[in-house]
Amino acid sequence: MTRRLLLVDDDDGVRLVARVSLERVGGWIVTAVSSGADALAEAAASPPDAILLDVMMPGLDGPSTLAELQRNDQLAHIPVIFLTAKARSAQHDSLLRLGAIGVLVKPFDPMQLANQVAALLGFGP
Amino acid sequence: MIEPTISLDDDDRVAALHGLQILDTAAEERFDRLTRLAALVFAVPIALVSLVDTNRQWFKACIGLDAHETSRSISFCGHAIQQPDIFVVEDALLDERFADNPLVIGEPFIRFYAGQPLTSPDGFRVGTFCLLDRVPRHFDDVQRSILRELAAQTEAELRQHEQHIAMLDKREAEERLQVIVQSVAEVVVAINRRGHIVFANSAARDLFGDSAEVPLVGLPAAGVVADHSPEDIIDLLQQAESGNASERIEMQVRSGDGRTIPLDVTFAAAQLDGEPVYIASGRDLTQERQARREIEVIGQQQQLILNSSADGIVRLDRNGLVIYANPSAHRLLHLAHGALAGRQFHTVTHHTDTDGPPQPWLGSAMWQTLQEGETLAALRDKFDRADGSSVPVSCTSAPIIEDGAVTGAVVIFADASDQAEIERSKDEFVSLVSHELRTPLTSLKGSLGLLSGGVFGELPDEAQEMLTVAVANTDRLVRLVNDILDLQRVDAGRLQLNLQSHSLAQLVADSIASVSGLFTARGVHLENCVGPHEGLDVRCDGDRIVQVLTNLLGNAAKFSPAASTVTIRSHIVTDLHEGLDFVVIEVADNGRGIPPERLERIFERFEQVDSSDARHGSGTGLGLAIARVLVEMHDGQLTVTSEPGVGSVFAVSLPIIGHPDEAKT
Repeated sequence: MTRRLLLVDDDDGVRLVARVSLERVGGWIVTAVSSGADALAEAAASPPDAILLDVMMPGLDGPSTLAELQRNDQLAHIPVIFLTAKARSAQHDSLLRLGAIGVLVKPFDPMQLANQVAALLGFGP
Repeated sequence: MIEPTISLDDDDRVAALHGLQILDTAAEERFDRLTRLAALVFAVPIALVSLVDTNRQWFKACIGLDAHETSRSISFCGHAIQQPDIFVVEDALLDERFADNPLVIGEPFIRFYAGQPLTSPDGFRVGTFCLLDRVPRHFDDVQRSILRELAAQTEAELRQHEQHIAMLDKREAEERLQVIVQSVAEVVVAINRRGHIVFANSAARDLFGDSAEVPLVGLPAAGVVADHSPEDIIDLLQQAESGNASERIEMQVRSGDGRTIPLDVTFAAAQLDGEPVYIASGRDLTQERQARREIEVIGQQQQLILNSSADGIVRLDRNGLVIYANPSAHRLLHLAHGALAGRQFHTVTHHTDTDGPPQPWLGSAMWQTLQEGETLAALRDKFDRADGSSVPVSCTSAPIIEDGAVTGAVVIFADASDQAEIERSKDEFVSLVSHELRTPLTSLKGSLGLLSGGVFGELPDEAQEMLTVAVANTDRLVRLVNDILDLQRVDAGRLQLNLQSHSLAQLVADSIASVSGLFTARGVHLENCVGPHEGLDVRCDGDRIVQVLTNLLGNAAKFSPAASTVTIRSHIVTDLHEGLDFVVIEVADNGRGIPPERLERIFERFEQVDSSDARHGSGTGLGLAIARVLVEMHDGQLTVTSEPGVGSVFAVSLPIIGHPDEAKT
C-alpha cells in the first residue's frame, strides 16, 4: 500500500528536493505545504500516514504546529518527524520531548532521506 | 707576720686613688725631688712615695729601690695608712708584725720604717711618704715634723696632678662639643643681650655667608631675619627660658646669596664665657617643603586618576572589607558615594559567575587573592546592585603585598554590559547565518544528490564527474558551517558535553561506518584492531567522540596512498601522577607524514599540512582544532607523532572512571 506523507517547509527549494527525494527514491505520495497553518488544514482535510515538519517557519513554527496537531483528537495519532537546520543533539532531544518520533537534520542526503523516514516509522528499508 | 688590715671603706679609698689618675704613670721630677731630699735629710738609703692599690703598693717616686711595686700583704705602708699620723717601726726584728716579713728577712732587709699617710683631696689615705733603713733607728719629733712637711708637699703635688687631669678632660669635652656643634646640619648661632651674633656654627656661616669683609659674628641677628622686626626678635629672645628650648617658630631668613629661606627655629637662654646669651638653632625647611609639595602633587594626580577612572577600583583589607572605593565603584553598583566603606565587598556584590551560581566567599576569586596572593581575572562575572539589579562585569583582583605578606587586595571591575550585548548579538548572528546557510545548502545538496544518484536517469560521464565535484564541495560547505558553529560555541563557552556511558567498540564502529565510503573511494584499507578492551565502556559525549574519531580516520584516508592500510587500535595506560587509567585510541596511517615543525600547528585553526591540502577539496582546516578542544573537554589529550615519508599516529586518550575490568562487567 502506498503511504501518504505531508511535507511542511517554508523554503521552496527544500520542499521540492525533499518531495522529489521521497517520491522518486522512497515511493511515497507526498503533499507539500509551506506553512504550519496550511499543514493543519491539509492534515484535517486528508490525514496523512506521517508528517515531515520543518522547525523554523514564519507564523506557526514546527513545535507550535505539532502542539496544535496533538490538541486535535483526529490528528494526534499521526507520527511527526521534525526536519531541522539545528545540528546539535541536545536540541534534538528537546524536539523529541515535544512528542516527535524522530529528528532529521538539514542538509539531508536525498538518496537516504526516504530510508531514514521509513526507519523512524518502523517500516524497514 | 701580721698582714695589714683592710678597712671596710677600702673600695672607696681605692676609687679615690684611681680618680687621681696617677697609678702607673711615668716618673716625675717634682715627686723624685722630694724623695731625694728626704734621703739626704734623714740619711736613709730608701725613700718612697708609695700608693696603696687593691693588692699592691706602687711607687710614684722611689730612691734606693729597683722595684716599682710590691704586694700589699707584706707592705709596711698597708699598716701605715690604717692610722692618720706617722707610723714608725724602729726595729722590725723586734716587732712581731714584721720580724718574719720577707722584706725584713730578705731583700731589702728592712729594719727601720717611718711613713706619713698621704691624703687625697676627698679625704682618703691613698698611700704614704715613707723612709726605710737597713739598720734600727730612733725617730724623734723634729724628724717627724720634717716628714709631715714632705708628705704635705707631696699631697699638694698630687692635687695639682688631679687638677691638671681635670683641665685636660674639660678641654677634650669642649673640643668634642665644638666638633658636634660645627658638624650638625642645623644652623646654630649664639646672640648676646644686645641682639648681636657672638657665635655661629659652620651651617650658620654657610647659610648666612661669612667672610673677612663681612664676618657673621658681630652682625645684629635681626639683620638676617626677613619677616620679623628687630623689636620682635628681642621679644622672642627674652621669652626664651634658661635650659629649655622655646616652641618652634617658622622664620624667613636671608641667605648669604640673597634668597629667602624658611627656617624652623627654637631659642634657649644660656651662658657663654660667663655672659648670658640666647642660642638660636634652626632647621632649613626648603627641601622638606619641596618634598611635601611633590607628594601633594602626586597625591592629587593619583586622586584625579582614581576619581576619573570609568572602572570601579576598590581596596580591600585582609578580611575583604572595603578600605577605599572610587566614585565609579559606587556608580556601577548604584550606591551613594562612601556607602561601600567598611563593608564586606563580596557580600555587597554577591559576586556571581555569569549564568552561574553565586560564588561562596570561601574559594571566591577575592578570597583566593587574599589567601594565596594570586592575581585573578574573570571576564564574565556578575555583581549585584543596591537596587536588586545586577551588572555583568570583567573583574581583576590583585594582592597588595607589604614586607612579603598579603595585606589586602585591589579589585578593579568594569561594566561588561556592552561586551555581553556584543557577544549575545554575535551568537544570534552566527546562529541565524548558520540556519540561513543550511537552508539553501539543503536545496543544493538535495538537487545535486538526486541528479548524481541517477534519480533522473543516467548522465554523460563528464556531467557525472562535474556533479561529483559539486556534491563533494557542497558536503565540504556543510562541514564548514558545522565546524564554525562548533568553534563559536567553544569560544562562547557554551559547548556542553552530554556525558553518558558508551561502549568503546560501538564508538569505533560508528566512526568507521561514517567514513567507510571514503576509504572505499580512495582504495585505502582500514584495519580495526581495537581490543582487547572492546568491552570497555567510556563515559563521554558519544556524538563528540565519534566526531573526533571520524575526523582522524577521514584525514588518514585522505592522506594515505591507495592500497595502503590505516589502523585504528587501542591500549590502556595508567597516569601514575594522577592515578587515573586512560584508554588511548590510536589512528595510524602510512601517509606522507608531517614535518616536525608543523606538528603542533596542525591543531591550529585553518591550518593544514601544506597549502595543496585545500585542493584535496575536503578539509575545512578546523577539524583538528575542534577535535583537540573536544578531547580536552573530556579531560583527555589529542597528540600526534609523525615521521615524514613513513606515516603519522594520532592518539586520543580519555580517562576511564573505574578500573577497565570493572567497566566490562
